[in-house]
Amino acid sequence: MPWKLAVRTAALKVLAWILVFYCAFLAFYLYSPEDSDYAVSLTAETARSAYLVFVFGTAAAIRTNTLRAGGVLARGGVRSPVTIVLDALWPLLVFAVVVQVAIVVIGAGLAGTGVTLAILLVGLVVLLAQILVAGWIGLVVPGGPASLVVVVYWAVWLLVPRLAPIALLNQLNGQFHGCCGGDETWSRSAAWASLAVAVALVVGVVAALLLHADRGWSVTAAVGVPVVVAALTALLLPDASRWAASERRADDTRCFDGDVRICLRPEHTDDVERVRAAVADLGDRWRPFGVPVPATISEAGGPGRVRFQYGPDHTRDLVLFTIAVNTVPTPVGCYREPLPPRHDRELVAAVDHVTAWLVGISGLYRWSLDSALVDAVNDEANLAEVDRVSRLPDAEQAAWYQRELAVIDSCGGRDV
Amino acid sequence: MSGALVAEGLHYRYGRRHPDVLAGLDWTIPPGSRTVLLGPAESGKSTLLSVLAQVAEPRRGRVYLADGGDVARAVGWLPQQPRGIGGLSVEEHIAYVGWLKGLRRSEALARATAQLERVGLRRQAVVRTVALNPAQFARLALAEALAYDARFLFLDEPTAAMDRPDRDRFWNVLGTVPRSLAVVVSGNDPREAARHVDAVAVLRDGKLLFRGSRAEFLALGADAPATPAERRRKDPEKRAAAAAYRAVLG
Repeated sequence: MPWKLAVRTAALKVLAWILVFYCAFLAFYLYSPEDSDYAVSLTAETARSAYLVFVFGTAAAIRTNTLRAGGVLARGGVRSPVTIVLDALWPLLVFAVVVQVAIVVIGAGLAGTGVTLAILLVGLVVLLAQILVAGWIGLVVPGGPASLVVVVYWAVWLLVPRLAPIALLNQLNGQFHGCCGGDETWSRSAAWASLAVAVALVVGVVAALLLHADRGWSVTAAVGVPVVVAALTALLLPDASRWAASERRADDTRCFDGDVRICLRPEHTDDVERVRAAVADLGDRWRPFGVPVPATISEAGGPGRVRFQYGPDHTRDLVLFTIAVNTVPTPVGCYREPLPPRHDRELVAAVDHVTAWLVGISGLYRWSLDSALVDAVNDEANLAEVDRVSRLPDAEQAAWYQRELAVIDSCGGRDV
Repeated sequence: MSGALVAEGLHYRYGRRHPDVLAGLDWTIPPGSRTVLLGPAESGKSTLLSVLAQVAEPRRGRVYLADGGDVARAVGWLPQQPRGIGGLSVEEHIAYVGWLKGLRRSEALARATAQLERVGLRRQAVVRTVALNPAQFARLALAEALAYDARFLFLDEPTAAMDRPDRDRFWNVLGTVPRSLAVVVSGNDPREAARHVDAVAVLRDGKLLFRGSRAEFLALGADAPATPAERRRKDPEKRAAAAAYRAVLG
């Protein structure tokens, strides 16, 4: 009979369950990923360990619970409790790493992007730490309640912060919640914070195992070490505990010359011709009204550039809409001093009118747009004025546009 | 005594507010001996065996081998209510315990296979340990100890839940175990001391009231007046053992 530890049969028993979960996970994330062409965003999504921990953590708790029930640590052997637990859990740990890496690599391959190794590595450390914690829970909590405790721990520590962000927990659990939009990249301090807490969890479990004979000190070590490290991390790196994303470098673009200079994020450069076609169409629509298309448009914005957005929707309408909205001057000079109330209202009205009108002449219907982006295009009173103007001849609309620009310019300076 | 297991000044209690279960206990167990540890309920027998087996840590005192060997590697233990390790067959269980005691995996499995025959568990090799009865568990403990070359094996009331045939079979198997392994069997039936063992210890309130050879123990009962129940026993050794036990406990 081949040498076979129970742990190996236990791993085989959960294999089917894990594979089902794995397939569902792949289907959910890889066929509807957010910002799927942005490596940082996709890796942050697919390297998130919360879902795998549910499966592997429960399996680890069941495994170690079997050791507990068999009194393995009460046999006076020469192996340390750490060795015994790692011997029981290593197939699960290896399997978890393989599954996690497979999810990230396959996801990146299907989306045609790279993998952000730092996020993947942090995700793996967090995953292994959580499995060890679950294994320790299975060792100290008897029978059925062990799995329940693991599920509650998993929900409170890994799931709740995702569903209802809590400042302190938000990033310390290593899940990179909210990372990352197209203009964001992963936060190094959030990664370090996640690593610190994950390592603290491992240290806590190891200490608890070494102190296994003394239940009080053992539990104190397992809970105390990560709590202290998490608290210190939250105090020392307050932003890291709240935000997993930081601003992406503005110069992380590649520019393409032409009638309009187009600067795209690296993940979008393959689509430059689609963007160029959309801009050309915009020029045709704006020309009758004397509105020039900006000389340079960029996904990253910056001085002398009008910012536009291409991801995550990758649609022509999104390009046209964001150029239209961002072409309207932002009269920051008007807000530098207190203005007479009437002047203020005129100014705001002018900005809203021009915004909604530009969106309209770009051929975009207001109900097709996300009202959260710009309220002006969905405000009924504002649209009434725009409707009135849009029925005028082109030349009169052009004159109206120039008058509105003059109002915007009246208090000094544009900032586009 | 070379190779003996020595307990010195053992103190043990279950929590700070509890009294000492073991109170300064000294005991030397010779190598290769067969000892029965007698005592009434709550006398501390299980506690003593678990401390000797390195499963529980004494508050004060120490347990060591007179020849300086590694105690943890040299001792084995069968608790009063043994539990199998889920998912493991009998053969795997023996091998796994061997690994816990320091053997390499391949060596542990080879030794496990060899010991199954000796203790009469060959047919149960692939049976899950959780399905074993108390008699089989006792033989499993013997196989474990033999597999990793234990020098001392502590069996906590192994025969308490056995019927007569199983009990006889257990003692018969124990009789075939090589003398490289010393065995201490606890119980509260002095008749166990009448046969099968060569040393007796009696524990009460955490202190050893008697420790000596089987002959010395039986001699204590020779002059003691017998109760009516003892007089009905045909076996003079069992009668003497019961009387000796009564005499020691006072």
